[in-house]
Amino acid sequence: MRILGLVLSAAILTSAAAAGQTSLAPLPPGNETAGSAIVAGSGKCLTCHRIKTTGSRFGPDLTDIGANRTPAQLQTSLEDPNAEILPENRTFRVVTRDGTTIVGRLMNHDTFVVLMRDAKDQLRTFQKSELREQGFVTESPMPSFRSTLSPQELADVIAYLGTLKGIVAE
Amino acid sequence: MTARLSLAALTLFVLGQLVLAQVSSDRILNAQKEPQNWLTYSGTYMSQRYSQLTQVTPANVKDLELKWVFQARWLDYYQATPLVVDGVMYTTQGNDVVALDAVTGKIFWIYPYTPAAEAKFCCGRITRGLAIHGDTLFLATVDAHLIAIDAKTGRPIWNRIVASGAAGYSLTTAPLVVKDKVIVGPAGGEFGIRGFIAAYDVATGKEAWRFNTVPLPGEPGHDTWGEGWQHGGGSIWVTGSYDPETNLTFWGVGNPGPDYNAETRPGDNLYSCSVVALDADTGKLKWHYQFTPNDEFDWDAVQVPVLVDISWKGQPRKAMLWANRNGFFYVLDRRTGEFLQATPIAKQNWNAGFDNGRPIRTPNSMASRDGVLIYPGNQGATNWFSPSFSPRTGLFYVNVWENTHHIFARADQEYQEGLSYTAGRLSTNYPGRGIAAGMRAIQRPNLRMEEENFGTVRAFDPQTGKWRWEYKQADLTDAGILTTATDLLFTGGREGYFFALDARTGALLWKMQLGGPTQNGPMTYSVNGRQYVAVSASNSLFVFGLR
Repeated sequence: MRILGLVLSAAILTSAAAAGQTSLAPLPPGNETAGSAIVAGSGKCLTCHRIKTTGSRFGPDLTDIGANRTPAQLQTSLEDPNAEILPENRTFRVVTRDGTTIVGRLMNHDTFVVLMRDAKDQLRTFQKSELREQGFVTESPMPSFRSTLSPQELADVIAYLGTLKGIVAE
Repeated sequence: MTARLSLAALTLFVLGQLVLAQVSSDRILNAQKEPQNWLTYSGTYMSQRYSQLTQVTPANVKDLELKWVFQARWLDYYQATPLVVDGVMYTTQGNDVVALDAVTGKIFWIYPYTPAAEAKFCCGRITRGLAIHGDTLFLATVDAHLIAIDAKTGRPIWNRIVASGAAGYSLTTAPLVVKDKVIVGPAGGEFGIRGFIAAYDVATGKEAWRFNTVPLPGEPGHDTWGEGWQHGGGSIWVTGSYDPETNLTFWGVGNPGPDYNAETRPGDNLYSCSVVALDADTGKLKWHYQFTPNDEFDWDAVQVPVLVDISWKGQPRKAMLWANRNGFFYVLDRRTGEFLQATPIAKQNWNAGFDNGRPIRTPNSMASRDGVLIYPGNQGATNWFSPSFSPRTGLFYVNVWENTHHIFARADQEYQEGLSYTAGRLSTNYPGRGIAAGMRAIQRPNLRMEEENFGTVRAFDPQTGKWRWEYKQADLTDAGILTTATDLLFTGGREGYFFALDARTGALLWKMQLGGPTQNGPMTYSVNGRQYVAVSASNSLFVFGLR
């Protein structure tokens, strides 16, 4: 298989040690409400991510991100999306024989087939023998927010994401 | 008078049937002469998993179709290789024993066995199969009993407690019958057991001999342990082989305990991670070869010894082929244990060569408190699943795990009976935890990249130690391999495919998706002139034949 590279589609890190790979500037205390507004508005996060029933399925679902990641991990991911990617967040790219390119989330693959969720949220299976190209995407689709968000805005977003604990039984 | 004659004739007929049905020592010894049957775990005492059946060929293998399925009432993996004797298949579901019609899959009888609740076992409630002698089947249980069962009725004949299941001893091997003895050894190295190989009388279950894989005080090799011998591991996980010419039986011995910290066991830790050659009548050690002295990476020597008669540097040689979990393919002289050759089967970084057969460690490849990155990982470059050797191609076929690693870190741990005793921590450089090449990473979506590890069938030339071809899979594989006299190779993997390759080229000839990982060694047999191929996937056994 031709390996095209890594993607960090949601910049989710695996460990505190991994988070330590990127130098992090200290941030001021964040405001959850302000962070929520940035995520839904100027940050355009929901263009790729989903929180409960709102947003896109292209990137990782953030509904329980606050239960699974520390603030330091979230800051690293926001500032350096290519730092590391979890296998379940890998993006895959295939080119069919007729030249059509499909990029989506890798769901599974084996010796003969690759299963993806494409940009239109369709669950699709491709025979590897019928593909012109295939491989992992080289760059993260997510931009770095190191320069586009202020330290306060970053702190707000992280504070908000930290409140997302998943679906709670009621 | 007529009635008396009829009775006599009937008696003779019945006796004749009984004699025909007996699986004598000679039949097992000459199992290759009746390829319609599968009389011992690895097919024959040579353990080549090579069948001389020829009905299924590269030309017609595409016409294989499913004939029947045995769905075991058991949720753990099905790792047993069935036996087939004259149209009857004997296999297991968990620790139950089942007799089936080998053509239809219909059940003749089930011997139910429930292991003791207090039994401890590290790596699944697994059994890898049965042995047979005469009309008696032998089952080794995960709570460390050896049970003789009437092959005609499914009734128990004797039940021998081999070791303490509560202390972590378990039996996962298919026993090996040699002459009038049935041989087994316990698993449980991850629980601080002290291993042995023992032979029991087939008729009575009385212990005939015992060889301690961790020598006791006064026994040769005891001085290679320090104080660690008391919980030194040395498990037996898979079945041995037998060479009638030398009357030697060969067994692979597991890792020393605790797995990841050798501070309590300085020295080579004989006979862990070794193959031992024992006199089949007495259990006396004739020779040994240690693949990984003072192992701290859980590499074991957990393979079936494959015996071959080959030409070696222009001379006939009675050899033993062994692809080890430590990442090397070995050629040994099976009469003497002489080291002839070792070559890598996968990426490795611990070995810088060999000095008269003893591995030379690379700098900084010893485990430490901080951890050391070692290729291959703790599950090794291959594992318990059986390889195959084809005398026709002269190639040795093995499923390899390529590109696996672990970071091994020593830790402190006191031994407590019945509890896991490994004294270390494992981690990886992989992002996330799902890509690690572990035994538990089975039946999940596969998201791994090739550089993170993959499974591959490799066909090694024993003369050079290099592989002639490989057949890559995207996921890992725990499948054994079967080859046949028509140059077919059958195997599978975690992806759920069961497939046939051209044994000379590695070309894919046929495949079937079975919906779960193949975990046993495929086998083949014949009834009424029709050849069948059997393989397990998840907890079921699938049997194929030509349309």
